[in-house]
Amino acid sequence: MPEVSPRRWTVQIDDGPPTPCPPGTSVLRALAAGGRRGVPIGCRSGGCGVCRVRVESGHYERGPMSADEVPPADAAVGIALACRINPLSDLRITVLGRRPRSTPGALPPVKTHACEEIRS
Amino acid sequence: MSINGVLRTGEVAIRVLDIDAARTHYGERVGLIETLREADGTTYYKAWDEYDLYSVILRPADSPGLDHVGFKVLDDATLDDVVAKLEGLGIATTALAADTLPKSGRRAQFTLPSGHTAHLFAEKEQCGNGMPLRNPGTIPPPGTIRGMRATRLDHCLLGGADLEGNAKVFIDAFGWRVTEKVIDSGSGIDIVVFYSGSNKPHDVAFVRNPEQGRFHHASFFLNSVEDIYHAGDLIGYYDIPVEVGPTRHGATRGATIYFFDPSGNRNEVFTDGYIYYPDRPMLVWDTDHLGEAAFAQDRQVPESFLTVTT
Repeated sequence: MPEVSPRRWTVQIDDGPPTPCPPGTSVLRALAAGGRRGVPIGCRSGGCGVCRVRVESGHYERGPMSADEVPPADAAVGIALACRINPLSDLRITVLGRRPRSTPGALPPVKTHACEEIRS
Repeated sequence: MSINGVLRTGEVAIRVLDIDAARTHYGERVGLIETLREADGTTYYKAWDEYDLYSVILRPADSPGLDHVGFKVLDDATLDDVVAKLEGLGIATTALAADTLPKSGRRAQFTLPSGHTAHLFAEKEQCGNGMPLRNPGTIPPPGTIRGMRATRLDHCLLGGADLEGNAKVFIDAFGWRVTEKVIDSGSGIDIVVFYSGSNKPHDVAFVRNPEQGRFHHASFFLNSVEDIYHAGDLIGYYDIPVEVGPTRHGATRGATIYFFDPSGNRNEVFTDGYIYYPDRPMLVWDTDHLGEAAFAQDRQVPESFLTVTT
């Protein structure tokens, strides 16, 4: 009997082309190896949250990831960090990016302390 | 004097998602030495050439990032003096009794204007570097230096919004000096500020970030550029997520590699750089020259370096 190689599931971003994902490989690593852009690459260790996605269909196993970036309520509806999920079936995902914070804004706030200087 | 009463960044306390993976990373791979372990898993490490019992604390938690940064001061009188200066700046401090952290004396805790929790402490048990104090020789017992051969915790880079408030703490209360700055080419506001309380090009640095209290990286000193390359070989061998390097910084002129621990906290290995004296003029980089300020060889800054923190 020829040895049957483990099943290579695929990952699809929205309706894009499927990318093969070897067993034990994270969704983020498979997409990067397949040359697929779209999911930002950060710490690759479940901490920074930039590779946040929503799994629209399929099953996956989940490694440790920051609860600040993926609170339990988000995880319950299929939100995860792509660096910390491995497919257990073909997956279709949507890219979300880092969870918005209560202090948004690209421009850094500039605090001049002018008030204190005028008072003194 | 070129060494200040506030001696150095002597302690960094980091949250980790998986303590076993973190112990493998910091112990076996970075090469730190475990010195204490608590029932909840919190683990204490020193680098081989540090005398203090610990400089790195790893605490299991559900999110990574910085618990606190600790600054070691010369003695109790300096601790009281710096606390008085902080209170004079309107920064409230809280006294922590001796042994609040293990084998450490009384402390003062306060919040930096950048949102980070900071400690000041004068006393911590010393266990030495494996070499006797009398006729010490030149190396510790073989096997002590391992992994990436980290010799000490060198500095950390932290992100927050109020860099002007931090300047008051580090210059007015600590007596540290700004060695270099990166300023916005248009507005001239500070983007990155490097502080030294010693002969090092930096003991701590802050980057402007709209979110308060963010952790950019903790850096470990290696003895040579050859050791940096050796660390790079280990990073490849262990498949550690690497971000930049080996390359050289423009700012500080240090040789560097950036990589991530298994919880996404950024680490650096660092060597070289110039010797700093208080009469050395401050250097300024414009953001128009950010590439060469950050990574002087390819002059490219990966987007993640500017956006990824824990």
